[in-house]
Amino acid sequence: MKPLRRSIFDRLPEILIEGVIRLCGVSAILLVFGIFFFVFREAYGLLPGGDFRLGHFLFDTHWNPASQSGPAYGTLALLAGTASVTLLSMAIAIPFGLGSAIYLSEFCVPYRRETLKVVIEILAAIPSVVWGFIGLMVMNPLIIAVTGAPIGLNILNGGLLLALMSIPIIASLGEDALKAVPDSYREAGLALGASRWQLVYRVLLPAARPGLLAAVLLGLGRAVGETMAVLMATGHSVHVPTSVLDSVRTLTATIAAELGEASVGSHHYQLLFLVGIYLLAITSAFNLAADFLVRGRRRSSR
Amino acid sequence: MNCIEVDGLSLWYGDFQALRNVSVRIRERQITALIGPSGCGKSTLLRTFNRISQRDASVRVEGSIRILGEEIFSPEVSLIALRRAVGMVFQRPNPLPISIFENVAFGLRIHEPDAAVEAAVEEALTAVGLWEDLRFRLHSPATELALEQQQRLCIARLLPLKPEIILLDEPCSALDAKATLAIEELLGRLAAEYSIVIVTHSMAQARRVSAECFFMLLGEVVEHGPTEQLFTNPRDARTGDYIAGRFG
Repeated sequence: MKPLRRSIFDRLPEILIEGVIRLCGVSAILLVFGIFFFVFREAYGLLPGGDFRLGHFLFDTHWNPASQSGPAYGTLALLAGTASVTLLSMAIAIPFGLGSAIYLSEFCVPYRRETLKVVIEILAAIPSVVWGFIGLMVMNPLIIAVTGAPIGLNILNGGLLLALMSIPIIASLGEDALKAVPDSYREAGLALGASRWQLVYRVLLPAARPGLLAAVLLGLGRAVGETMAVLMATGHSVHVPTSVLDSVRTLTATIAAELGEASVGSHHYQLLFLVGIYLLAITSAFNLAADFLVRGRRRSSR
Repeated sequence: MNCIEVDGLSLWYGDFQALRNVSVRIRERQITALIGPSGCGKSTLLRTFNRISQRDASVRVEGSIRILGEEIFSPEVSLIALRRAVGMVFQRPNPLPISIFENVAFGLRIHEPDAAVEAAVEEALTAVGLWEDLRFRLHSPATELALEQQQRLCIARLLPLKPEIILLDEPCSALDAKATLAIEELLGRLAAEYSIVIVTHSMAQARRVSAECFFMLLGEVVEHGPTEQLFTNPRDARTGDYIAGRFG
């Protein structure tokens, strides 16, 4: 008969595997802190150096950090650029993304769903520089022809590109969220005589709300953080826009365009890292807000 | 009067035939039970009365079902109106993930957006014996209730629409003995106003609650009759074997 007790050698693989899994979990946290640490370290030189004013950084619209005679480092115009492009893209991507999620999950026949999902995944895999190229070579002349604007590299162009990039994310994650709604809810609604549309907006959307919210926020995250496409398609002009046909520059595009020119450790270089921290703070705030919203919902529906 | 008349009904899931030439008459304002071993087609038959079984795209149906005199497979019949007249309670309580109040108001909100819901909700919850317990927490989530309360709620949400027929698919299988008895007692009271068809796995339950009983086996109705007669003096040997517990 085999002994009931296990020797340490029998348990060794378990201990090893447990250790590796624990390491994976901890490494995610370490990486996040590492990123914060290194970005902060590069920007830190600004803070003790007396003439940096946070108010100017946050609320001034003039950005000219490399100037020899009185550099300006206000990021408000850049923030306005990021915000306007992101808002426009979400205004397009949320209805279309959620709409396709609803269609895929509730109205589509199975074989067509499989085809569409493959197409959507291909759409999600297009590199952003390719989108930027489309913005530059296809949308630019198109926007000039249609709207009569002097230049087609503007908020409209960038917003449309970001929308096209976010829609696949929102659609495929949104579909997952809707598919995860128990079928018993659908039966309950249908058996009460709900039409398919009533079922969607009275039963499925409330039931899937946390997942749909997460899908939208991931799409939003992609739009806020996207760099290459907006760098190529928004026209690179630092000012607070007044119409969707204005050219703008975003926070991300600024970092990408200027970091190569700024000499390491210079004032300009540190400022760009500070812009990075600003961006990080914005996206973290969105993620935290989403987390609270989703959790709050879960607790109240339990 | 019959509330449901089924003639020559056959139903296939793909290639599998689940109902074979079923013909039944179900009387109004009483409880009718469908019994039989697992896979005999009793749930499928019940789920065809409100055509919810046809959600499955592989389902094919032949034959006729007349409910309140209307042929329900006729293209002119509105599924929405049919399901309004024929309510259904499921095996697992499935309150919607919204508040208690909104669960009961759901039917009115989708069918009669202008109807006064407050009074209807109170009336429905009173009818199922939940009003006193829940009147001060109507706006908390329905999914927080105990299972028995959830199942009562699932019955209550049918009532504001004044259905003619209530279908119940093993409504007590997720409940304990005490809750089961309470639900049965509720069904007994509702039978004065509604025609009730209940599918049950439990012969004892069929015997306790129903006035008439259908015994099904392998997709066919083997025998039907007044419940007492079917249990004490079955005509078909297979019915006798089943109720004596020799199979199933």
